[in-house]
Amino acid sequence: MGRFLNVALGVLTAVGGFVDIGDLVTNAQVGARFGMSLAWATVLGVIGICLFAEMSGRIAAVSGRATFDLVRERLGPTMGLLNLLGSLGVSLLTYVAEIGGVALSVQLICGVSYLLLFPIFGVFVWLVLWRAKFSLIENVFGILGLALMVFVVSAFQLGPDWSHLGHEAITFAKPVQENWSTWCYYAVALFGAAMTPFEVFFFSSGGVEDGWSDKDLPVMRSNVALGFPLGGMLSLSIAACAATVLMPLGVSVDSLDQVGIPVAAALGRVGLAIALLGFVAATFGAACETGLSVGYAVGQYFGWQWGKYVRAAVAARFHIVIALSTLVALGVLATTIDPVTVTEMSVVFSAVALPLTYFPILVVANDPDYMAEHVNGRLMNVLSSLFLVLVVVAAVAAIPLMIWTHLGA
Amino acid sequence: MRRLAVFPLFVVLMAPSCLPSTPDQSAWRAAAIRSVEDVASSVATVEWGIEHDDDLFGRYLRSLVVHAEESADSSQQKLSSLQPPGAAEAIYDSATGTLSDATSVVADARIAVVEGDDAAYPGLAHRLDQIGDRLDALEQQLRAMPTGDHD
Repeated sequence: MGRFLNVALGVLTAVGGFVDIGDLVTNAQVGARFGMSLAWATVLGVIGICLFAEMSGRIAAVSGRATFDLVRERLGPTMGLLNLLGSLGVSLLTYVAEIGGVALSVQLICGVSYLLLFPIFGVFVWLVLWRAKFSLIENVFGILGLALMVFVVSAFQLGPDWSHLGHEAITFAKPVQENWSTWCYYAVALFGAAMTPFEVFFFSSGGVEDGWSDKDLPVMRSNVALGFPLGGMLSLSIAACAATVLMPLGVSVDSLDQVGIPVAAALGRVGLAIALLGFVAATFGAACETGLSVGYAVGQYFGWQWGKYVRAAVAARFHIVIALSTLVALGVLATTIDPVTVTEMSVVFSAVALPLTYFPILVVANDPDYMAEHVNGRLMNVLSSLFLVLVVVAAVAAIPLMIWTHLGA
Repeated sequence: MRRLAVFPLFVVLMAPSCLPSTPDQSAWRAAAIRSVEDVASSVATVEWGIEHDDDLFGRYLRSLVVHAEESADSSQQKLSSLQPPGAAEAIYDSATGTLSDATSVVADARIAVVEGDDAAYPGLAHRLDQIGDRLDALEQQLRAMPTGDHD
């Protein structure tokens, strides 16, 4: 019974925690402009994050060591540092986007400008990271994020032509007025939004914090195999809602409030209230996870004491890094840059930075010195090598496509 | 003396930055289509919002309309700041005029929403619908315009 509850809680947390500001905005943008013709990119991203999270979770459970600890050991200090800087940059960018996303979500509820709200919520996120228990951060926001399941209900309530949406999804039917470079740019953005590196840092570092052992592997695998695909279904339902309501209206999504329109159209104010709760929970939870991921990455690389299971005084440098990154994030938002623009950039740079951590994890997952009998099996190696190629292609294509299409304009 | 010599050089180097961006016909057409689509998106958002105000919370509707207005203003300014190529001067006037009319109707809608004047919503919805049709026609006109690539 205890194990069942653990699996259920883990799956719910993974579903609720899968969607963040990047998924909300990117899926709605894509649904409104391209219908379901890019659903394949989300599906690929979900398979990719399942492989990535399974390998890093297995490494955490078997070796008891976290991602950047191993990255430094395997790649050496210099390459490890370059790797750290790349991943840290993307996590910081995502942290800015998530804090901005919390402020934008709350603005939709209370009507106060996000420019007045972001300092308050930035400090609140930092206080939660400093004072709250790990289990609270891991479970509460993930479960509240399940409110976003209202998009699945809305998709059914709107009663779209499912055969048309399905046809778009399997025939890659790009709208005629869009060009292929923009279509490819958004494919990379969706892939990056689904395979955000911070989710994996958080997942595997959380495993180390929770003291996973090889006995926890079945629970970890159940969480990955059920939670992330269900989260992916949530992403697809956001795109389907946008394709059904926003695309026929000719609305292109450039703000968070437009993301809620299909839910209001389907379920009225009650649905909208639930969606708003989901926006706040998903962005706040993701802000906590990215803030912690920044601290994890730096602490693990330098071999400091890190984590939420030790007192703050013992892991002082870990908490100082989190406080400083929160200050940097608030400084960036103080320039009045649009958080939605930061979000658009963060999902693309996620794709750019992905090989930096994916490759070392794949190497360690095949190393019997670390993994003993738990090294990758043949099927896992075929799939993860295939995804290494995809991840590298997406990383190489991301910046040229971003420049060529003017951020997908 | 050296400072005096550096000053004209500085002026010469900085002079191009004072000029408006001068895209070729193809680039101007693409930018114009993008601006028209963005403004049409803002118009459609506001029209949907005021037609479905019963499904939205007042603050949500206000935020929706304010964002749409900001987005429309920004798109209009982007196009106005571009120097049109010679062959596009006629359509430039028509495009900037239509975009200006659209942002004006969106601003009127924002005023009504912020004041809570829901009696004005049906009239505004009609005006938004009409300007939406004009934007659609303008977009078709721009798409039919020669790109100038073969010139």
